[in-house]
Amino acid sequence: MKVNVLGAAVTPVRASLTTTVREMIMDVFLRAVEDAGVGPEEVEGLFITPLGFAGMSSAMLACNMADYLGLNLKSLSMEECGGTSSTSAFHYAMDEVLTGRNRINVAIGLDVKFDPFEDFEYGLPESIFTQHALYGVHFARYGIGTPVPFYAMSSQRYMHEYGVTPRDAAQLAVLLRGNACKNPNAQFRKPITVDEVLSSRMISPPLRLLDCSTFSTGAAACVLAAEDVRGTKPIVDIKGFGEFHHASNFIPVRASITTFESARRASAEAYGAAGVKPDDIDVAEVYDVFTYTELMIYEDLGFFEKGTAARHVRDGETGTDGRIPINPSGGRLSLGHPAGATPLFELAEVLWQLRGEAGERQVKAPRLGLVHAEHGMLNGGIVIIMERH
Amino acid sequence: MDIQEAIRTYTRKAVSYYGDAQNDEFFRRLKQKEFVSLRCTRCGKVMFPPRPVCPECHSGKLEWVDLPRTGTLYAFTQQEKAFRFSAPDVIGLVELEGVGRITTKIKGNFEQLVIDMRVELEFLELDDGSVVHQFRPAGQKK
Ligand SMILES: [Zn+2]
Repeated sequence: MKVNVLGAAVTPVRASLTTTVREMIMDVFLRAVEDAGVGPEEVEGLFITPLGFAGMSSAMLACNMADYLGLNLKSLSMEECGGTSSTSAFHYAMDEVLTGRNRINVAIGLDVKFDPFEDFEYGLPESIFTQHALYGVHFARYGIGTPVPFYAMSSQRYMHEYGVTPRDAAQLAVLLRGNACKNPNAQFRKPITVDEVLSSRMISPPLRLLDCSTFSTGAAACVLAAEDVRGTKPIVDIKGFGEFHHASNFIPVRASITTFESARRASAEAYGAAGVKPDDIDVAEVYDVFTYTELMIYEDLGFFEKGTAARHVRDGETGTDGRIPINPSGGRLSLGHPAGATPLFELAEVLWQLRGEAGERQVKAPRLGLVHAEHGMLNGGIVIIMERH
Repeated sequence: MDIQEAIRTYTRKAVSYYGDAQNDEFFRRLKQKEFVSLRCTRCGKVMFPPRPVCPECHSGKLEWVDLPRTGTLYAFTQQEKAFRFSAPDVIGLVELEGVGRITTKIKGNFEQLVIDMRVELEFLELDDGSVVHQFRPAGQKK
């Protein structure tokens, strides 16, 4: 049996809420089913994420939304797994089609900007619990309040092991900003230069401000359906799926922090299921939260040899008119990063690219698209391969 | 309740939710200037941080062993904003032979640190009386 990716919708990515949370969910739900060419009452399963995974409580929000949206459902759930939360919602929605229980499901990811330093004071008990749940009791003692130091040390090792330079990383940030300039949903649309990246404020060495993604607000929805539900747009279906979670959270005690098993194994499973190779992919969206990390992900997904991604980026191969366009949306760095929703923002971009609806940033006639998501510091990952028919 | 007292209260509560007896024991021993973790008597691996069961082979037969007090600096950075400590807060990964890489506070000027340098343990006593581990470049005066 096959699963069609029938429709998608996203809000613009912004720093903070422009409507309320329930309005935001209703908006992407209604636009996604309209894009899919089905009626809201035909939806049998609804799977949502919490308001991100580091922010305020959203217990029972899924139950609340069944009421607010007026849906009688055969399946309803809230899914959380860090950065892969919305791919977990997607996974549940996909499986309910594959088992034949449901014909039409909707997965929704959402996030409201979390500022650990601001919210630490305003929502003190909740923030302290969040910090301990996220980083563990042991490391909370060492004052780890964001994942940035972990990624910074991984980036430092990547430079040390492969000779990658700050200029290499900056070139990637500039390329992504160029893509975002053509994306009306992007949070950051002012062009930047390599020198601006290299002189931006140091956050956690070697990561400067413009090497980092930011906490953002936004929601994204997608509609998954049985293969006989076809809507009105070109058919895109799921050709391969892979998932792997390593026995670690953030810094592994022994495994590499410059080659990530989760991305390698999840993508190997997805390529195998789809019967394709990395070279066959025409467009990809990857869960890139820092410049150096993004280069490592390109390599671990098999697009380039280890240590060479920066050279290929410099040669323009990952641009929208390159050999393998990656993150045409602007990526997390410039589209913005509402983490709980990010994987479904990626999926929406790939769907539009495959249908030829991506406007100014459209890549040339893609057939196969790839979506990658991760949680922790790439401790776990999901890869989805989609095909246009 | 003032903010420092609130932080202590809710941190204690969070630890009572998400901690374990082994974590309590680790920090109790650290206060006595002991730097220890648990070794699995079945597979021989030393885990970090300690927990009730070996993450390698899932045996519960464990013993406390001393950890090496010197190691190699694997990677390091500093936090521009710090939750617990005043900025700049230097954080590193120290490779301990036979254990693996542990995340730790680092004492030292960021600019003078280099990957692969030898570092040694010191015990850092905090205002609340608790003790955490930090490493400093080996052979330097305190
Ligand atoms: Zn064992």
